[in-house]
Amino acid sequence: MRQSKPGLNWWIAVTLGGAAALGPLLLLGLWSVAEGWRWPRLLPEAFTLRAWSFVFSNHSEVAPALWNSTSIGLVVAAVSVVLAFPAARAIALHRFQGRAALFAFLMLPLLTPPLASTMGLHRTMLALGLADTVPGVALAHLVPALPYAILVLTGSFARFDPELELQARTLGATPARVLWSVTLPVIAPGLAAAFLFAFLLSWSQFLTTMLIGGGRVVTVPLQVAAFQRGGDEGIAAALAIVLITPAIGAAVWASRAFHP
Amino acid sequence: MNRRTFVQTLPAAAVATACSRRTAGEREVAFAMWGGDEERNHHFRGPVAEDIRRRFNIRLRLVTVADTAEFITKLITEKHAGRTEGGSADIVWMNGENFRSARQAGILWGPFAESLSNIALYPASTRLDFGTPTDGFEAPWQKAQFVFAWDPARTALPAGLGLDGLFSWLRQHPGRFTYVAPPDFTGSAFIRHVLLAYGERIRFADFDREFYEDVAPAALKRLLDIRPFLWRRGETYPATARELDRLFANNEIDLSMNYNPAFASVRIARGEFPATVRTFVLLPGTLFNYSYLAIPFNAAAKDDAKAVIDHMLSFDAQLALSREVQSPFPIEVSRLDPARRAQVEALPREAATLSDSWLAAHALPEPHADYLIQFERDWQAEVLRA
Amino acid sequence: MKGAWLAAPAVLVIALLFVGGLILALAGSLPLSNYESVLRGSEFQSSLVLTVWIAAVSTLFSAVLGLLAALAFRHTAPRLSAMVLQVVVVVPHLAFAVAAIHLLAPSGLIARVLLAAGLLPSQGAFPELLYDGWGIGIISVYVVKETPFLALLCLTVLLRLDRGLEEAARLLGASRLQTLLHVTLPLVAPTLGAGSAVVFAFVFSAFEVPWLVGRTYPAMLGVVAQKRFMEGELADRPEALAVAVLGALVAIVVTAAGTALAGRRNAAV
Repeated sequence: MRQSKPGLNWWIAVTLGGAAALGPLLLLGLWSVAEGWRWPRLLPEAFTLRAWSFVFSNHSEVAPALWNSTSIGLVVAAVSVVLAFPAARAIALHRFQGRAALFAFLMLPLLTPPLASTMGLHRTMLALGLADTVPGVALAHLVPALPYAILVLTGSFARFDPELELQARTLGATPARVLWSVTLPVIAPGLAAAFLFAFLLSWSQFLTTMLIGGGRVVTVPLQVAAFQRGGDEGIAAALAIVLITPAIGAAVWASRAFHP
Repeated sequence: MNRRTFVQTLPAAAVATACSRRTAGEREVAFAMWGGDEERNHHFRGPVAEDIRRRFNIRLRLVTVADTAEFITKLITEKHAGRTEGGSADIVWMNGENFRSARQAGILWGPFAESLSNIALYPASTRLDFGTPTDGFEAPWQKAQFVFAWDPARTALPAGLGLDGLFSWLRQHPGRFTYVAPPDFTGSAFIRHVLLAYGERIRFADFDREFYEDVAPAALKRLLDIRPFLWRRGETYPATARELDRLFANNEIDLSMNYNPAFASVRIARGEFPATVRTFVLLPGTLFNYSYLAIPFNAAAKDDAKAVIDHMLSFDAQLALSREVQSPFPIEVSRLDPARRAQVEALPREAATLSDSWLAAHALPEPHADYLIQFERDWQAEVLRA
Repeated sequence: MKGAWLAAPAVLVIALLFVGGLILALAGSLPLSNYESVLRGSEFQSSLVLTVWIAAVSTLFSAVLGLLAALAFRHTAPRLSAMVLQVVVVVPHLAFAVAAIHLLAPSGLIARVLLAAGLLPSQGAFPELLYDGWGIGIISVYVVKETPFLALLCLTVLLRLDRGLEEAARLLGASRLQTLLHVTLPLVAPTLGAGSAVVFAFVFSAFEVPWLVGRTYPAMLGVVAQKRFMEGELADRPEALAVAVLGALVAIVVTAAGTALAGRRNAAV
């Protein structure tokens, strides 16, 4: 692909994009160490590690929240990808009646406000004894994560050439071997993207975790929201950074490891 | 139901607890407490938990909830689902509307409060919670009072300000005052002060609809009259007390308000308010209320919970707590012997926190909860959407 | 038909967890008289108008800016650009809402910089960008957040385009603009359309950002539904659920229409 020298357009776009990416982070970073940053000061009156020492102390219980957020995120991402793989394949590569309707059905959770369905789900969870539990929250996270994974993988499969598999079968490979050595490697970028999206969706879930987890399953977004509503600006900012940093790390890693 | 309690106006952080790691044989009591300031959480996780472990061999686990009303809803849903054992909390901190809906839904265990050894320390008026009889289903624990904050270094306020004085000050300083949008509790409390100015009979009584319909229109009219002089011309209101504080700290408005008398001191300590901020109460007084401890129907450790509550109500526990978080001392001081009374009088208060005696001298009791709901509704219909 | 069975596990999960929940919510919002009182109420109507406005404007700006960004990045360091965009996409909306408050408030950073530079006489002279009637604050947050999302979508498509089509058009004498409008754009349109539909639906049903940065009244539908649900009496719940269900219906209808339109454009190519 021809690469041209960066033109003005590019510089404008990158500067704006970079500002949008870094701006909130910088702001949050400053707030997390600021003391007395009121009008009309351009910079805080003083700097303090109060918020960060709280976050890293035993009392903040950031560690359990990180553990919950991470483990739930990984499980949700894995299950989403496993469920999405055959579904996306079916939609992208197979021709059958009602294909568009099936796709629309699977995309429904993306289009509807989560409040209604989550409240309904909560009642089911209660009946099943899953409310206030980690598995219950993970299941609830599947609702937005799975459609996203399907969306990404469908795009991947749309560009996939089934011929490759046919050729491998002709050469005598078993279906399992074909899957492992041909399909998966080719689809790998899409799988990684789907995994990442599903993980990030679960990682940043607030409403579902709060409603289904009942405050007992604590994730990082819940802590951020609590300090947001409550009042400590510095601690809220520090926790927000804790929330955002792994996500950014994951995104950067994924975009380097796998070409868009 | 689903009213936010005063505790939600306490400065901020609801830090959620970890999953419990119970050691074998250890008894545990889970205390559902809304956020509160970090001092309070710290106090409970540290000295209080230690104390309770020593006295009762019970592990006190803090379950900080972001919204007591949501927690009550959860309990109600648990009751409907038939979950009568192993509930998420053994003690819940609540008052007002939340207590009323909890009683109506039958999700509280009791009565138990009258048999506590320390109950005699509390005034008889605590048997009514926003007009609802407690019937022993909750025990009085904390006291709060509505205060206003201003910065004398940048705003000149006349001394001895009453509601009328405040309103005429507003007119002279348009755009420098606002209140949190009801039904948030802080905002709801403010408009309740306006309603209170209209009727002595409102206090304590049951909801007297005729009386309400007599005085509410005048109160609403006052709020409508000052609307154009509010911040953003009264077209929008801050969504949370925190946003109100931010506006105040950054000089967009000149006054803030909160149900926690120590809220200004806490924010000064955090560096959010300048050190010159002070608090005041409107004359003749501002609303105060008690908050209580109750035991959910599905608590796993009801007797242990009762013992812990009794301890929390004791003089020593209350003294330590009041010293730590600067909350008004809730025990009826006249029922204490002189030595203890002296200890109470010696409780330190930061400069931005009014003394307990000043607060008590300017305290108005809360009206029946129904006035709350109705007035909030009417505010939304008449003032917000005008 | 065999292919369809592959999707069975996914369908099952969505049916149980989502549709089941929705049905229960629907059940909770009956009887139908609730819908009547909601629809009649001025709150719902003004909220709907505001919500459609904010969602539409945000989507429009994000789509246009996203497309322009993708076109700019296409030939120049696309991987680096994509990474920058990814970072923005990954940061939660809440962070941007908080940043918006700190930046756009009359006492915010931008105002402070202007004051220090002597360009702003006083705090009161700064325009009211937050909590305003047009939703400027809300729209800003969503445009900043969703533009990279749509830009990434377009970029992915653009990078995989067969350059042959475009080169052929240029060879035949079409100007750059003509090529763009008649060859490139139609190829990107379906993806952009679908992405825009998702953005619209998302903004339409949002809660956190409009709650923090928006006006008290009228508020966006998501805020109305959630506030009524959380802050109202138990008796208010059915109406709150009705608002949520109605909001969902409108979102679905509009996104379906949008997707169909984009699909038809695709067919035309």
